[in-house]
Amino acid sequence: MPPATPLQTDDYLAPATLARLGAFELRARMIVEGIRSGMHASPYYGFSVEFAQHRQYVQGDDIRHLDWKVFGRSDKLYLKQYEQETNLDVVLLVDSSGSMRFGTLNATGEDATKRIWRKFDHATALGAAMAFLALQQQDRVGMIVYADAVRALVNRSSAGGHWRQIISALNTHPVEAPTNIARCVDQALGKVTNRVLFVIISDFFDDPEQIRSAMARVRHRGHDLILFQVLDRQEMRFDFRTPAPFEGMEEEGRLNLDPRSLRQAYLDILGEHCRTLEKTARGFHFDYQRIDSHDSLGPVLSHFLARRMAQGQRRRG
Amino acid sequence: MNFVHAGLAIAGLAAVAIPIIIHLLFRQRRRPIEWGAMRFLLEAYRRSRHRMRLEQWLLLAVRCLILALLGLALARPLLSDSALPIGPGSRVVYLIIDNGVASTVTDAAGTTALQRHRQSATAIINTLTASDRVALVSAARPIEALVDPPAVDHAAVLARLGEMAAVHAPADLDAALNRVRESITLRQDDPSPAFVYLLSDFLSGSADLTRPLSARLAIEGRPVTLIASTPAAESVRNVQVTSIDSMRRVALAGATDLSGQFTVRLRRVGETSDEAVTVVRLSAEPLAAPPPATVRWSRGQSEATVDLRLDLRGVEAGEVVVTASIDRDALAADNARFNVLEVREALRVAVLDRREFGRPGDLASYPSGSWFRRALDPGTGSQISLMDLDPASIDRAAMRRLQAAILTRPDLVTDEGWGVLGEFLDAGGLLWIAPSERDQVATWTDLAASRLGLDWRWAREAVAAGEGETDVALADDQPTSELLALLGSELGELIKPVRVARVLPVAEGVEPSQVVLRLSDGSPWMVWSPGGGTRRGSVVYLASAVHLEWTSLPAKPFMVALVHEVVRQGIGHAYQQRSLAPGEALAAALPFGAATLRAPGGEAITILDRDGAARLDRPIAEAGVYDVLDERGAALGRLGVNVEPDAARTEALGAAQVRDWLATSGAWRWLDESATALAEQTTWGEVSLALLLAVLALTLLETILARRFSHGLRRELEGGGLDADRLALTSTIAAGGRAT
Repeated sequence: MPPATPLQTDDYLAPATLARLGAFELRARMIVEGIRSGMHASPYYGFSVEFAQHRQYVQGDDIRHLDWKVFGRSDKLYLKQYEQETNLDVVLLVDSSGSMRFGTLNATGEDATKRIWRKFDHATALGAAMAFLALQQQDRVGMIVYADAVRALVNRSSAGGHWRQIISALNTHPVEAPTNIARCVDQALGKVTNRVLFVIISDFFDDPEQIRSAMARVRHRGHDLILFQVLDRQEMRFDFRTPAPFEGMEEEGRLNLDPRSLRQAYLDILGEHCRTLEKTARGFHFDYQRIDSHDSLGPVLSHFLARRMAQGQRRRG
Repeated sequence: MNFVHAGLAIAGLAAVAIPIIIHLLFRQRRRPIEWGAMRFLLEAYRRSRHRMRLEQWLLLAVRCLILALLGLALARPLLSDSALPIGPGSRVVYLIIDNGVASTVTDAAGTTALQRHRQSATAIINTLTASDRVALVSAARPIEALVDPPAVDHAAVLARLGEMAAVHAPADLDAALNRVRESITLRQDDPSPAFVYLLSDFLSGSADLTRPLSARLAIEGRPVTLIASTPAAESVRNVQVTSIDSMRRVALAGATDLSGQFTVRLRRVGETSDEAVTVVRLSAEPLAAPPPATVRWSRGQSEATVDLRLDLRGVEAGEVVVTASIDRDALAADNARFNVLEVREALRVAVLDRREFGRPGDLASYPSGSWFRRALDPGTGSQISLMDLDPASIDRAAMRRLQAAILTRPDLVTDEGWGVLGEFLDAGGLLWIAPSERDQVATWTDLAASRLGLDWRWAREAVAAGEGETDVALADDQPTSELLALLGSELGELIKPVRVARVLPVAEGVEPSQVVLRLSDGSPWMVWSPGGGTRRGSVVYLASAVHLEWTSLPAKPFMVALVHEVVRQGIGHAYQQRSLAPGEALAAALPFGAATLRAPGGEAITILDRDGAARLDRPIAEAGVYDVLDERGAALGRLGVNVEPDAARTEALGAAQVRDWLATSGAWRWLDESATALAEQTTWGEVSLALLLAVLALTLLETILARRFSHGLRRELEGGGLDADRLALTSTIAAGGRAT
C-alpha cells in the first residue's frame, strides 16, 4: 500500500519506510533513491585518496610528490605517498548471527501484514547503501555474510551488475548460531592481498578479547576497518515492566526474572562492553559508529561520510 | 493463645499462600521474550543473583507477614497473662456462667436467666481496670473454658460472652468451680488475688445440692474469693414431658397391635398447690395425629401419665419420629420429647437347628427347632420372616440380615460359629440359646461364654428340675422383666400349666436383674443379658430344651406368647439404646457407618472413631431430632435427643441451702448487683489494634521495598537508558569524528 503522503528525502532511508517493503530488492531500490536524492545536500567525494606515509627523496623520484612544507620546516626532502588512490577495495562483513534477529520496531507492510524491523534488516540496508556508495565511486566491493563462520561470499568487483549480486547475497536470513568475528575476519583476511577497507556491520555481541584480537590482525596487515555496531533501542533501554522469562536467541537458554530489578546491572554491563569496543577501535585508529536500528540510515550515513571526507581533506591539505 | 474468631486466624495463615500461588500462576502464563543481548543479561543475573534472591525473599516474607497478621488481627486474639507485662496490682477474675438448660427459663418480661447472667458479667468486666485479667467458663456440661488463661483484652472477652448461647444440657457448677481451681493452681506463682464469679439462679436443675461441693477454692498462698449471684427467690412454674415410651421399640408395618401405643409422662415443678390443665399432643409425620389428651392437675399433684395411640396402619417400613408436646411455658426446652420408632416390614428370625428328615413319630419326639418354628409362624399373615440355618456352618452374610436367631443345637456350633454369633451380638442382634434335647453333657458352654462376652457359667450336665419331684412348675411370683412386660397380668395365668422336668442350669454369674422366669424352687429358668459396652445385642437363655421330655412349655399357649414377646422386645431393646442427651460427646450405639449427625438447625456434628468408641467433635447443644448420615451424606436413620428432665427442674433452692453448699468451697460472698451496673464497652481489643498498626507499618515497608527493589529505576527508565549518559565516549566520538 503506498504511503498516504509523498516521501521526503529522509523517509527513503527510514526503517519504518523500508520495513513496509517486504522484498529486499525493493528495499535496495529505496535505499538507492534515498542516497541519490540526498547527494545534493551532502557532497560526497569517495573513500579513496588515502595518505599513507612520508619517504625520503632519492634521485629519480617525481618531484611533484615532494612535501614542500616538510622541506621548509626541516630542510629535508620527503615524498608524500598515497595508497590505492583510485581503486580502494571495500569488503563488507554483515553479521547474520542469532542475536541479529532481534527487533522491536513494528511496521505494517504493503500487504497489510505486521513486520518487525530487526537489527539484521538494518544491517543489510546499511550494507546495501555502503556498497552502492562505493560502486558509484568505481571502487571494488566485496561482501561477506557471516555468523559463526562465513555464510555467503561475494568477490570484489566494480562491474556494472555487481551491486545486484551484493543485494542478492544480502537477501538472506539470520541463523541461530552465535557470532564469531575473529574467525570470520581471519577467513576474510585470507582472501585479500592488497589493502582493503573492511566494514563490519554487527551488534558485536562477542567476546571483547576476540574482537580486539581480530582488529589487531586487520591493523597488522595494514588494512583499514570501520565498525558499525547496530543495536535495537530496546536493547539500549531495557524498559520492560513485568516479570517474564527471557530466552536467548543464540541458544543461551531461558531465564525467569523481574527485568526492573536487573535493568541497572544489565545496562552497566552492556555499557561497559560498548565502551571497551570503542576504546579498542580507537586504539587501532579504526572508525566506530553505534547505530540505533530505530533511526533512519540517512543522517547516520551522511554524517559519517562527511566526517571521513573532512578527515581526508585535512590530511591531504 | 485463644481467638474470638479462630476461623479468621486460620484463614489469615492460609492466605499466606496467596502471594506464592499468584506468583506460580503468573509464572506459568507468561510468554517468553526472545532476547538478543542474552549474554549481558546472563552476566547481569549472575552478578545480581544473590541480591535479587534476597530482595525477593524479603518482599515475599513481608507480604506473607502482612496477610498473616491481618488474619490474626481480625481473629482478635486473647493473650494470656504470660504474654504481656502485668503490674503487681492487677486482679484475676474468673466468670462462671450457668448456661445450662435451666438458664433458658424466662421471666414475665421474656428475659432468660442466661441473658441476665451475661448482663451481670458485662457489668463486672466494665468495672475492671486495664491490667485486670478475665477468664470465662461456661457451666453447661461439658464444662468449657471459653477464655483461659485469663486475658487482658476485655473487649475480646465481652465478644466471647456475647456469643455464649444456652445449651440444653444440665449445668454442673461443681465441675466448673473445679475447672477454675485447676486454672488458678496452674498459676501458683502469680500473686494476684483471684475473684471467682458464679452467675446462676441456682434452680434445682442447675445445682444438685444433695451432693456436697467438691471444689475447694482455698489455695495456699493465693487469695481466692468466690462471689455468687443471688439465688432465685421463687420457683418457676414449669411442666415437663419427662418421657415418651412406646409399647414396642420396633413396630411392624400395618400392625394393629399395641405397637402404636405410647405412654407420655408429665411432671409439674415449681408451684403445684393449685389446679391446672395441660394439653398433651402426639404427632408423627406423616401419620394423622390422635386427638390430644388433657391432664387436669389436682392440688399437690406433680406427676401424670397419659396414653395416646397412633394408628400405624398404612405406615411404611422405616423410622417414624413421634413427638409428644405440651403448650409453651416458662421453660420451652422440656415441652417436647422425641421418640424414634422403627417400623419394619417383617422381623427376620433364623432358627439355628439341624433339620431331621422324615416326619416325627409323635409329639414327644418333636424336635426343639420345629416347636420354635411353629411358635414363630403359627398361621398365615405372620410378619416374622423365618429362615433355617445349620448351626455347624453359620453363614456370616446371612446373619447380617437377621434381627434375631434362636439356637437350639449349641452342641453343633463350631469355634468360628461362636465368633460369628459374637459379631451378630455386636451388631445388635438377639440370640436365644436353648440346650439341645440331646445334651446330657454340655461341652459348648465355656466357648459360648467366652465368645459371647458373658459372665455366666453353665453346669456341665443336664439335671432333673427340682429336688426329687417329677415336674416343677414356674414360680407364682415372677420377677418384673422388660422382656415380658407386655404380658402383664396375663403372665400368671399363662405360666400356670407349664411344667419343667429337666434343665441345663446356669450355675454362676447370673445377676438377679437378669432373671426373666424362675422355677418354683427359685432357680432361674430363663435369663437375659441385655447389651452393654460395645455389644449392642442381647442374649436370652432358656434352661430347658423346648422338647416335651424337658418341659411341657411347647404344648402350652404360653409358648407362642413367650417366643413372640422375647423376640420382639429383645430386638427392640437393641434399638432403644439409640438415644442421646444434650451435652454428651460420646455417641454410643449409632448405626454402623455413621459419620455425621445433622442437627435440626442443619449444623453438622462429625463422629470421630477413637479407639472404637464413637466420639463427637463437639457436644450436642440442642434437643431435637438429629439425622444420622454416613460418609457420603446418605441417611442412615434418625436419633431423638431429649432434655434430661432433672436438668430442667425449676424449683428455687433457697439462699440458705445455697449458702451452706458454697460454704465448703472457701471464702465467698453474694454479688452486689448495684455495684456493677456500668455501660457496655465496645472498643476494639488492644492486641488487635497493635496488630493492625503492625500491618499498616509492614504495608508501608512493603511499598518502600517494592519501589526500591523494582520500581526505583523508573526515573532512569524515563531518562532513556544506555544512550543518555552512559556512553560518554561514544558521544564524544560522534561529535568529534574519527577516533584518534
